Amino acid sequence: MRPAGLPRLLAGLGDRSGAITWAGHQRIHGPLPAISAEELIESVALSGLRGRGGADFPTSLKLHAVAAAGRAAALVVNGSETEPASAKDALLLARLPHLVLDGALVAASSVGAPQVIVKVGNGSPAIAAMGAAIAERPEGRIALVAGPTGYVTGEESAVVNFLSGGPPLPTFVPPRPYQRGLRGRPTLIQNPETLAHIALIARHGPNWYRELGTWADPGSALVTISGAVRNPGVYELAFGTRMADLLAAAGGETEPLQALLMGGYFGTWMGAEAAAGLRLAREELGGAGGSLGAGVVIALGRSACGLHESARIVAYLARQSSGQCGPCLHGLAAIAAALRTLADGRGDAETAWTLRRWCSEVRGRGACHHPDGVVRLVESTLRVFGTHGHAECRARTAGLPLGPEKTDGAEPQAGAGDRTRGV
Amino acid sequence: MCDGHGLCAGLLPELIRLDDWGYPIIEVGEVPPELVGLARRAADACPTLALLLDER
Amino acid sequence: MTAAAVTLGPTAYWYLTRGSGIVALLLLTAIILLGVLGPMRIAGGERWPRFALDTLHRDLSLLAVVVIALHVVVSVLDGFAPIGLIDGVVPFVSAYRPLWLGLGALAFDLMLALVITSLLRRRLGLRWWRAVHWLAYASWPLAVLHGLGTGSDSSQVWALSLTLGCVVIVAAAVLARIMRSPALRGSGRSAALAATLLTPAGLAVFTAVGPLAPDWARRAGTPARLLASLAPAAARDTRLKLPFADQLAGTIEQTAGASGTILDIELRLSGADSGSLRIRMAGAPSGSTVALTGSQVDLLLNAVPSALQGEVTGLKGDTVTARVSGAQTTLELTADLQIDPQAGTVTGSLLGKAG
Repeated sequence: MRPAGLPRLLAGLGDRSGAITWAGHQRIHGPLPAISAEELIESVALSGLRGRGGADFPTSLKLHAVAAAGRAAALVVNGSETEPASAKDALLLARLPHLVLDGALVAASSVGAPQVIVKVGNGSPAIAAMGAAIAERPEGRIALVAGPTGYVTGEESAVVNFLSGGPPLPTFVPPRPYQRGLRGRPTLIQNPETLAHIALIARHGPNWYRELGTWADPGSALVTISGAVRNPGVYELAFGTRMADLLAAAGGETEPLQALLMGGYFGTWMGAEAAAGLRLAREELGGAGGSLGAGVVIALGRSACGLHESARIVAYLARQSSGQCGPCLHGLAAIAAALRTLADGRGDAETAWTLRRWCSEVRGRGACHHPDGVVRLVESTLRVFGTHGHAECRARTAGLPLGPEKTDGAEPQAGAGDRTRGV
Repeated sequence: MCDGHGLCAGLLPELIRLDDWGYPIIEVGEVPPELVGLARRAADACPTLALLLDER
Repeated sequence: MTAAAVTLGPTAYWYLTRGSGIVALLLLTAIILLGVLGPMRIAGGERWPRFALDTLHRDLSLLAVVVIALHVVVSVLDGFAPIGLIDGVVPFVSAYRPLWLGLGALAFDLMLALVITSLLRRRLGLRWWRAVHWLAYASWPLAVLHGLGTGSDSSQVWALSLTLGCVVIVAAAVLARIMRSPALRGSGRSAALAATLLTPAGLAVFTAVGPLAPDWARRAGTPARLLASLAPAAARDTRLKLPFADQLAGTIEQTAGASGTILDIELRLSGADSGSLRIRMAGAPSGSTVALTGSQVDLLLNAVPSALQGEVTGLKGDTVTARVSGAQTTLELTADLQIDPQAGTVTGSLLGKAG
């Protein structure tokens, strides 16, 4: 029962489709042991687990802060997954719901949260699976809520605002939700993968967790690999894995690569040669100006055009601005237009200079980090692909996915949250 | 909250300038003593009270 | 002996009242224009930066409060209309044209609220300040209505043109602001546009059936005893037959003043003409007569549109002679009086001829 090596989270999936039932889940992983709050938080701390939603925050710090405050409102499973190229959370929620629920329940107990709220996007296939899984559970304090799917709505403060009955838009932090969230009380918001790891750490302990990975980056991670690879999908890999092995796990490249997008659209481009020598490790990736983020890696083949691809993505991200802050709303639109101009080869040194100026002016001037993420992506685009594109390349799209657009200038299905209650 | 009215930049150009869309870029940090009066006035003039002078 | 207190004739205060009212209207128009157009970023740039327009808006508002306060004080001092200082801030309780005067008081109250909430904006928070500031859109039409309803010049071409000009400019500015506002859309915008177009229309209709229609003074609530002097100034006093003779009956009051005695005689005319005569004399008593140190005589004749005013020219026994004049008339008056000091009553006869 105690997995040696991989898979860990993805154990038992096999070739079956559909969700693993509670009975099946207990067959694979064994029962969830009774564990005291202190013991759980200690285990998580010793394991070195960090949040898998992209912020990479040490999980035990959050647990500790919420437990210490003593007035936790709830634990929220943030299944928003608004990164268009990420599929790991959808996989966990739709096919391994009990693993996530185990982690959620044991984490909720450890911080004294009376309620678990699972938040997913409207129309997600996870709704049915999660609903069924919750029904299988004897615990009656789990709620399932569906909400809007805009890019910025998955951000922690946006989730709290939405669950509090307001618009699903980010607000200024601090205070962060784990300090002040639902109903003004500390709210623990965690990515489903983080909770899945907690479910296994509760069973097998921190030492087991550290059997994989490196000392600085222990454990395993789910990575959504897509783009110019033979078998795009969600893979579980140990930290410290080399990029070549990562790509091999997904069946290898379908053509020579020119770049990798690390961390999804909130991440950065890396040139293929530069990335080849890197491993899945925070410091190494950080040194090259990137990070794993929410576990998204997109491979861009030579046949595609990085500038045009990025121009498409940045235009989408600009449209996804919540519009609360002038510099983000106006700046990102201008930046996207300038990038498109450069990609089409119509720009000059002036355009590139203005683009760089706007990037440095927009950074840090929003209520949330959306504009910062876009600026980071743009700057890495210019670094990796240069500033001279060709209009003809526009047709050579690599088909990187975009999320749903806003309708009528408003958040898609804003306020039309489909609130399905669990048992 | 900031709506880009730009009164702050008019009153305190030494510390605040407007970006290409009319929103203020503020030099963070300590306000030099000779500009504190103007800074106070700029914060009071903001139509949406978005500018705050921290006088601690 | 010091002279009786020299008083300004009522006409000076009356001019000040009207003048300050006009100035207030112009100020309010400028203020509302600055408030409406300022945030629209059409003005501005290097020569007129936003904060300068904002400061001007604030300064003019404070000035307007002062001017209106002056307007209230001066109209009370005028003494013509029976109003007190309280009627400047408490609406609709005055004895003189309560509704139309009250609108002015209401507008003034709103202005005070605007100014006070603006001074305390940081403490109050943006939401309260904004809510009160929206009332500004109500106070301006109220002020205009007040001017049209109480103003003695409301039927004059120059006053109407001025008011019309102000109304048109403000309505145009508000319309522009509504059309340009991104926040105001759909039913909100329709409502705002309707309000902005209906207000000038309403004011025009009101003007037509109010001040410009006959008998407005009485319909507006002017007390009956003042109505006599409010006949159109253009009418000539051709109905008075000179010389005239009438009977007098009234009261006498003697008060001891700082410098001597003050005699106040109020008389009603009856006979061929009707009206009232008031004689005030200050002086030092000497036996049964009075050594005059100052005087004032007011004569209201129904046949004469304007009040006649003047002073005593002679005092012989029980006979008082006086000279009074008005817009187009000067009269020499001779009043033979029989005074009963105990009862404080007076009877007598009056003779008036051209002076």
